[in-house]
Amino acid sequence: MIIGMLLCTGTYTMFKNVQKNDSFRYLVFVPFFLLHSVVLSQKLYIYYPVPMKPRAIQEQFSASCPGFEIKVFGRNNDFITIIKQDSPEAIITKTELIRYLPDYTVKLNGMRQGVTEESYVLMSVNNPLKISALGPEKVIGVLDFLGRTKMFSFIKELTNTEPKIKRVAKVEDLLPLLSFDMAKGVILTEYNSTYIQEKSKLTFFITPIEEKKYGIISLAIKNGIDGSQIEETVKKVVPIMGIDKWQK
Amino acid sequence: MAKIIVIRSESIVRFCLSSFRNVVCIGILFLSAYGAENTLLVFRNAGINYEQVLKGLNEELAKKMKINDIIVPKNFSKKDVEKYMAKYKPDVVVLMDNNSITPYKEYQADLPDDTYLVPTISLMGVLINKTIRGLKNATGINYEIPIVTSAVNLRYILNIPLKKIGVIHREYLAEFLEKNRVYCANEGIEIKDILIRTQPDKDYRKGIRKAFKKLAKVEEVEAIWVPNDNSIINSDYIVNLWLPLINRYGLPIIVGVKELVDPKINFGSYAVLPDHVSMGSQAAELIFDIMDNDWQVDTEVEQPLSVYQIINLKQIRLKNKIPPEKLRNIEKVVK
Repeated sequence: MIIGMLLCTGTYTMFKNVQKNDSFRYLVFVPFFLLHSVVLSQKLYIYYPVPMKPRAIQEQFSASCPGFEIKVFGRNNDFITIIKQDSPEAIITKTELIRYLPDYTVKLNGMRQGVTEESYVLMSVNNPLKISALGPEKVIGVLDFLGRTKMFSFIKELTNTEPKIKRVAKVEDLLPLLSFDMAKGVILTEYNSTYIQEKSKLTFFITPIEEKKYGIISLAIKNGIDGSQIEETVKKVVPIMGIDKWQK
Repeated sequence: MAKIIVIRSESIVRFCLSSFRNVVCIGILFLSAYGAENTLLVFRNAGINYEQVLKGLNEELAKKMKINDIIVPKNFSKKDVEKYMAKYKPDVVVLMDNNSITPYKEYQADLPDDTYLVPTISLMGVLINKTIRGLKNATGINYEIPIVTSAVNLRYILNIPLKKIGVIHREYLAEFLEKNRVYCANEGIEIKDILIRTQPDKDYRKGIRKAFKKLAKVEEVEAIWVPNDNSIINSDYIVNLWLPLINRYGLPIIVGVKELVDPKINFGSYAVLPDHVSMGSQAAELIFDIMDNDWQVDTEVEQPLSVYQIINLKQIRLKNKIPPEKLRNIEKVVK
């Protein structure tokens, strides 16, 4: 990027000295600068399922990370497809998802209220639901951030049970599962559960699943790439998506 | 020398046998894999919304089954259905829009009594639960966004109590409203609806004006939910009837069409539309359920789970203040 900027400055100075015609100078300089931005800017792709919409996340990151090409995704499927296609230099996503992306290494972890890990809860309406009562005959709603097969494994690992799961792509879609009685309960992070409770007046019962904790969110850099500049920039993007600090 | 030749012959025979065995094994594996591949047949209209639903289906199912996508013409008939069913022999069928559902119903009705009925999932039609009545081994997802979904979201965004929501409608919505009344009651929201009776001259102006005033002044509703009904929402009525009433009473108007929240028209305050890619994913989940249940449908028609929200700040800010952090949770904000 520095080399690119030097090249731009050099070209601009050269034409400034040679040509006195302003419009000609900008005609050469502007496309050159744009070309530099496209070719040399590093890609930072983000997928983090929270109530905040990709549009708003994109605005905040773009404002705080000039010089990076930032794309924010609202669905796990889109994120995974584009990562395979574009191979971005850096990604920000749920720590659990990075486990399945061997080309990336976690460099920073997002912190919420002083911790980098969070727990999940089982949320039901009108009646409490025990984790031990879950089984193939009970439909449980989950936010899909891993894809079908991996979500089954994740829920099995989390609850030590194998409920029938119904996946949704957005946090707010978990509420209709309960409102329309399409699931006996939903499993979600404690953070996202507060949003549902704030939004709805249904009588909720929360059963904590405290035995296991998972990383909240991480910045991961593509293996073999120097990500120090991205790390330094991302560290400054707080608070966002409920994250108040980034740490190594 | 002879001994060496014998050994070589044995090796060749052994090699041939082993190769033959491998070929047979690979063949069996190939055939079983090929035989195990399930087929989904999609009948749909052309258009971006249908493509989005197909995208959602593809993302979930493309690795699991072969998807045959048929764009149906306007004159699509039961004969056409028959032709495609014979050609693709699907394990499951997705029907998008009444244009596909109606001919499929006719096709199924004509089948002999003992015929195996391929499961179907109907989407994107008007009141799917009513439309697919009579269709066997069938389920679907309603296209109409439940009032409770819109009302709960609006209450959260505007931070208002929203205890009463008004609806002006015609007879055909009665069943939809009864179901929604229960969902809304669970959220502490009461639906105050006024039925506009079908007029011989199809002039609903008087009825709408009277109903709107009653909802605003007598029932004291805090918002009005407007159905996607061309008879009561059209360009003439919007300009000459709805807009003067909205400006006078300043109630937030919830609509189901994105054009109606265009600030140039300034009619709707908040639009809640189906999220079509998610609807495809929801349909894929139904297909997985059917697959697990030996291709038999055992679920009722579902409500759509995912929505796309648009807020018209120009209209809604007339009477309401919205905290900026709430706007971050909305897909699109228009000014």
